[in-house]
Amino acid sequence: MPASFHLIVDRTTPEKDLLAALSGGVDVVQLRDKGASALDLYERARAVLPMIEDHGARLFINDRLDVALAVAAKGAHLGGRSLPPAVARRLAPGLLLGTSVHSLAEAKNLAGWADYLTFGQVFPSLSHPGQAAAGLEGLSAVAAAVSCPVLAIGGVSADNAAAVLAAGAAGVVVISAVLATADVAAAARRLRQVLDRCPDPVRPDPATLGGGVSR
Amino acid sequence: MDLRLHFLVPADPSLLPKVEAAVEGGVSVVQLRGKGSDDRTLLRFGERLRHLTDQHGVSLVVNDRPDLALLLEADGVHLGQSDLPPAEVRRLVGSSLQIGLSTHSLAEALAACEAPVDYLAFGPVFPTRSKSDPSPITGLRTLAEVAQKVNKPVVAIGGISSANSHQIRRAGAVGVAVIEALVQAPDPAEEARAILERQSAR
Repeated sequence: MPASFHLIVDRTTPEKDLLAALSGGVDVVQLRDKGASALDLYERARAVLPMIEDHGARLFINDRLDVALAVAAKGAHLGGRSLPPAVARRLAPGLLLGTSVHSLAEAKNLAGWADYLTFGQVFPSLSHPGQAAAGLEGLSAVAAAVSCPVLAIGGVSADNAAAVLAAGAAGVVVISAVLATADVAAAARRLRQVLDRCPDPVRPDPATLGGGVSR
Repeated sequence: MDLRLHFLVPADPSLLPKVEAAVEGGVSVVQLRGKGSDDRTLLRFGERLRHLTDQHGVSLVVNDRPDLALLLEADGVHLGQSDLPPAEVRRLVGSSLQIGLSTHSLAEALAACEAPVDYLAFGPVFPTRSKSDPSPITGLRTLAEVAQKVNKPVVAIGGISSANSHQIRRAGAVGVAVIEALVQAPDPAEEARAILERQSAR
């Protein structure tokens, strides 16, 4: 199974851009919108779910487990302010659960509870300016220390994706590398090609595996 | 669920003594309102509220979050107009949890009658200092009209205290929901008792 390609979108992401990114080979669309009400998030998720599924991709909801369950998303991505994955698992045994980590210690703590970790930021990124970047060394230390797949986030693009996978990542999570480009489909396709040309990850992201968790 | 007196509690652990006093004074439903709070804080605070409400045999309701309501083994979940649709929440929580829905006009209240909810909150009946609900004041007359026209129990909300709770029962509401009156009261137990006494006086 090739490395996975997650794209983070919010309410304001134009549907044509989402469609273009999906046609370029996104595996997982994570809907993240901290400012949205549950209803906004729910309605947006319902609106984009058909096009995501039509492309054989999967929808994950950031933070709100209840919204993920309500729209029958494939998974939920939990941040540091969200429910801990161990608690979320009790309520949603059928969802894939990812969680964000920013240090080796955090990664070791949470690896046993999550289906995948996102680690970052690996490189300086537009969405978190001023935040220290862990670099490829930080990523590779985390990937070597935990037994669950680790996805790289933060400044990841087609230009550095091969290095990120070589450091042990099972996939990448991007926003601007795809959405802040003039040709979203081409940017997505280019990143997809880089991922597909790399050797398959040792621990593949379960979000890309055939059936995933049976629901 | 005894709907007579709801205490809407922000996720602030320093309020626990007030909540306990208010429950001793007769609060029948404690509603956890955690919008803007960290989920981990909410979970911890919610566990303490569940413990407290269990000890006193009163109900715990969680605002906006069916997932937290299930995790905390709450008795109900309370929804606003911009939360998940009641039908989806009913599917998530099943029939064992009660669902309440906030309404702010006769039209919303009538629409709520068709939704799978157990009770309605209606208001703000009086001017309120808490900024959480910026809807226009409905007044007692609309409350009375709503209580008469809907086929579900109506709980009045907005600016209610022991100074005006006698007007609520007359308007046909089965209960009241308060924040400020109990948070600000020097003696929340006494204020809760006073709200209930005047609410039931005819």
